[in-house]
Amino acid sequence: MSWRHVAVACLALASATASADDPTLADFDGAWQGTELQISGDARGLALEAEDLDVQIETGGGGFRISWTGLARQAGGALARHKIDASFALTDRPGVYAFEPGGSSFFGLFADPATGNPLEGETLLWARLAGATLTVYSLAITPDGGFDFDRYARTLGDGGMDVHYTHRMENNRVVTIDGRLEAKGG
Amino acid sequence: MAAKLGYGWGAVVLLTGGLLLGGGPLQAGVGDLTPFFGAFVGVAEVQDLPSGDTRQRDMDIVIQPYQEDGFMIQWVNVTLVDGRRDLPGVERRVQRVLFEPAEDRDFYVEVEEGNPFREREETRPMHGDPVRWASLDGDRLHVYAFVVGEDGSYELQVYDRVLTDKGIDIEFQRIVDDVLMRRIFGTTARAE
Repeated sequence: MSWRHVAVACLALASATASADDPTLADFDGAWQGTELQISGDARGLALEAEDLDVQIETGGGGFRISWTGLARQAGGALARHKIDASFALTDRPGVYAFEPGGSSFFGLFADPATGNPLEGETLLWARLAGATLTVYSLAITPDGGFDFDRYARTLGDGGMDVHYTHRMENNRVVTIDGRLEAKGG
Repeated sequence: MAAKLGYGWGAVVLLTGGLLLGGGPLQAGVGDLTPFFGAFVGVAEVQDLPSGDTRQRDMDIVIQPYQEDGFMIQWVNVTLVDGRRDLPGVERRVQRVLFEPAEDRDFYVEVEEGNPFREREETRPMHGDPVRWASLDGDRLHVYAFVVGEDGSYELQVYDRVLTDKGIDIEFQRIVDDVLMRRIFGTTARAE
């Protein structure tokens, strides 16, 4: 059974358990542009603009496709922009979405949720919808045993979205980005 | 969330087993663990951040080689009551974890004790399986445990053992969905 099949089967359950006041996945749909951005932590010269927060979200079929810019480590340890495009399908757990390999233009970069294992060099990617916050997570273990862990939370409110992004690495190195998104053309 | 991590290391060894299939030579870069081998006795302070509670514990740690190129860590924690270990309510916990070099990568993965073939089912993090590995970084031995919770949030545990002139220091963090829940600092001396 594919994750999409699971998504369809569980859609009714997810709907039943959500609060009537909570946003739905469809409320995240659209093109969003960054209007504010602040970086803190061990960024080591990383320079970003508000537009680096831009995100495109397309919902449908119980899941969603999302295009955004994250951070990736370069040789020497510096962080740089990293564009990502990935699709997610609802799992059998309400509000939990697994990466869907067939729905992404980056097929092969991330782990198949059925078998994915960061210990074997794959990036584990998943998402969670809780209340008004849609969070995308990724974990990669580097070849020398370090790690890159992303938690990218987008929270609907006041006609836009608040962004809180953390990029966590070994030796307690953490970069945090806070910002604001508004609907493009809105 | 993260019930899988709540079993403790000893139980998780039984739950997760080893990753590797077949043997193989030691991979370059995992490093010389010899300075970490030995028995260490010390104390630690456990900080529970949400409640603000702080507790003291005694520690007894043994690190030794395992199989050809791996290592074992076994430790006994005694959580004290009013700074004493002879009062009702004292807790004693024994834990043990085994690692062997990962195939074609420069770190260690947890393996199951007593499994000469090092076989186990595939680790499936999206089904709640803990991801556990270790790496050597100079005088610091990192041990990591990561799990995706039932609700999609995450738990990360980082357990560092740092070589010192007299033994090893202990640094531990437990982070749940970006919130630091527990922190432990400890110091030990190498036992004669």
